[in-house]
Amino acid sequence: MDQGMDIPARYFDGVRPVPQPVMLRAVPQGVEIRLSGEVPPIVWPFAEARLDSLKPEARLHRVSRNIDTGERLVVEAEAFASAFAPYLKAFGKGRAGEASGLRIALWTGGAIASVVFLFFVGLPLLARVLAPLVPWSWETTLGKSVEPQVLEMFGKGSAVQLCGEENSPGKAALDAMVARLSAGAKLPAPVKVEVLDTAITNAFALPGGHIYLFRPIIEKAGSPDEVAGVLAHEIGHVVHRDAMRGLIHDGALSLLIGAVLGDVTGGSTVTVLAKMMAGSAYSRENESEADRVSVDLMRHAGADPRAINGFFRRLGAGEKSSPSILDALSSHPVTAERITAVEKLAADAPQGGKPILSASEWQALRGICNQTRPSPAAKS
Amino acid sequence: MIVPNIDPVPAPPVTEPALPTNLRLVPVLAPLAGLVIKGLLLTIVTLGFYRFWYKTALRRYYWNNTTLAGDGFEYTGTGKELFVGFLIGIAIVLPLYFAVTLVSIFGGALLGPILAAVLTSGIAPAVFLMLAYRGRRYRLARTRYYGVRFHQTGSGMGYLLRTVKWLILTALTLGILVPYLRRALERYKIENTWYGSAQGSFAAPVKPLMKIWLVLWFGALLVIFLSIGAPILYSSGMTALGGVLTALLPMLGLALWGVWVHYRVCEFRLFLAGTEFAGITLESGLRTRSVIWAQVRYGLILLAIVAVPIGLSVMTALKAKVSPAMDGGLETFLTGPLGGSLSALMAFGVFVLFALVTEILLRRRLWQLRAQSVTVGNLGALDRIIQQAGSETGGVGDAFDTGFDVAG
Repeated sequence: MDQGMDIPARYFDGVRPVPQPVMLRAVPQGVEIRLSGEVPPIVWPFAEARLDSLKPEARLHRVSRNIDTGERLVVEAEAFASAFAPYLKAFGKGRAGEASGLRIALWTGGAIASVVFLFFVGLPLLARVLAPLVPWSWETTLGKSVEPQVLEMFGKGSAVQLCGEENSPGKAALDAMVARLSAGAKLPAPVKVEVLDTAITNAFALPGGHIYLFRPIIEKAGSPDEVAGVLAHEIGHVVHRDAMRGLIHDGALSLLIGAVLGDVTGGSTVTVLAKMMAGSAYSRENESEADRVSVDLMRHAGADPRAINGFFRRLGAGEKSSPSILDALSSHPVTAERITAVEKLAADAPQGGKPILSASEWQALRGICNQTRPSPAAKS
Repeated sequence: MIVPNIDPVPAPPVTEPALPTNLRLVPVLAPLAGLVIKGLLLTIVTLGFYRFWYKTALRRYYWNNTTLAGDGFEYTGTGKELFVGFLIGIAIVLPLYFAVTLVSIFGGALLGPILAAVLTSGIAPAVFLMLAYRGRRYRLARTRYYGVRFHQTGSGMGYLLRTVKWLILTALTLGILVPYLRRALERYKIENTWYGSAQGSFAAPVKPLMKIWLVLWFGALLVIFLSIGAPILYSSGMTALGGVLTALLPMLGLALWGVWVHYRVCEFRLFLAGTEFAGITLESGLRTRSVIWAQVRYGLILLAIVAVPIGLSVMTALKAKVSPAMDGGLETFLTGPLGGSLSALMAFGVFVLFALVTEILLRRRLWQLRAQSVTVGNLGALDRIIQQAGSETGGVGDAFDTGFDVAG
């Protein structure tokens, strides 16, 4: 084989930071470097020679056994091209400690897949498994510590009032409903239910099994079973310990997103958006599960499990419903899917069962907000 | 290998004089825009995972284009190393995060917040400081010049202890000793920096800095007085004087910013002049004027970029108000489905433009100003330096300097 031509170059040996004038030549084994003086030439095997750039000067470094030896060559561009053009494909690729483009792509793909998996499967599972392990007394403490803020949030300026004096007929009717529904539920501890004197239609369960119905739930309901359906749904959240699940899920989620995006404080827009997306997908699943409990408890109490649908429809009738992007982000959407799911679950229940409250009890419950009292949990 | 294609810029022919003694760091300006756009797009598409390779590409660009005596510095780190280092960093941050969450939820009403505060404002910054020091170790170990590597000794703990000591002294003197704090930390860094067998030495005077710092210090005091005093004057009826003082505040703030830039520039010059490697000396002629101008220009251009979309939306809003009956035109276009995606595209364009302008007009410009200002003396002393065998420090686990952008 032709031995090629000699070209001048600057050589750094990786030991002393001093340029040495050398002559280069392409030989079959690689790049032959001849130093001045009576020293045998150095040969970089092509696989060890890495090309950093071709212009304005050709620059090469040497990687031996995946370690950068520190050796460098700087060659005039045209001379390098004419001497080494046929061998360019033989040169090794990449820096020491770098993976190939394909491997990086595979890793990134794998990383994205596992993050997506964690988002939609791993975190909900984690929350589901961990939540029952948290002692109930911890959850109660936690519920007590957030209660004053929550009550304040729904009141105008001051903490919101609770409906019904203790031992009033309204309160007794509510307690009777709670007792009849709880009879069929596997609760970690008895629930405490109160009606809040606010104009918003809502209901929620705090950590520790404290359930709040809002006044309009009772006002808008057409029958005691509709109220009971909503209440049974909230009891479902307590049964599943969804408050604790939510806490664990949220914490793990912000951690995951923070880790992926490298944003520990969690303040960036992308982080907030990602949280909303994943969080709402997760909570919608919880809503469906609570609906299932609602159907079971209503059935167990001998009431109409479909009544909750009646209430949902009543709510929907007043609002124009148009599908929008917000539905995907809303945490509590009453969707057609949920209504159909409840229909299906309650399909074999006898039509028009015995109402959960007697007519006089229902009358008393409807009047529960005629008297109000301050919440003992509220800050004075 | 993810090396971006950087188009070469015709560089002046490298002349090789017989070992010149005074040389300059001259940054070659190679196009950076392609690198930034490609890096941003890939980072978004990969949910952020590409950012390690993007950061590596950026460093390679800056290092390689900073040349001394015709040869550039070299950044030999890789994206893979940053990625692995990031995973290790997470393993450290994760338990910390869990501790804060658990403590603040279950720590009780009084103890919980106190413990959480200790964790977030005491232990977390300490950990990040140590990680930052180790990050510097990684960067130095991946920096070569003339084939010989830099490295860093010392420990994150040593750096942390010095920081804590000087923070206490600074706090006791109400911030007057900040220049001493900064010098002490710089000394620790430089004296633990090595180029091959050459250890850095550091000796810089702090008096010239104290003068500028005191101006800043009293200026800050004045700002505090004014912002307390103006409302008091208002409420006691002296509205004219109060108004004058309130109007003075932003001007004072701007002036203090200028003094702060001046402080940093002087500090850069003094600290660099105080640094030496085996007889190789450094000197900088950096000027405050040019740094301030670079920042002002950057700010003005950012404003111009933001003004376009804001102007468009204001125009749409005004048009809708003035002629509510007018159908068609820009307003329906902008609010329609096509216009919606166009607005999103415009927002994305503004985002990319922001990043581009920040990289080119701010970071690169400041890097260039600093590099150009440096004169290296007695380069002949390179002869006495050799690569130390066995000094291979700064493994992959040190690559903590990525991922955790505290500001988001």
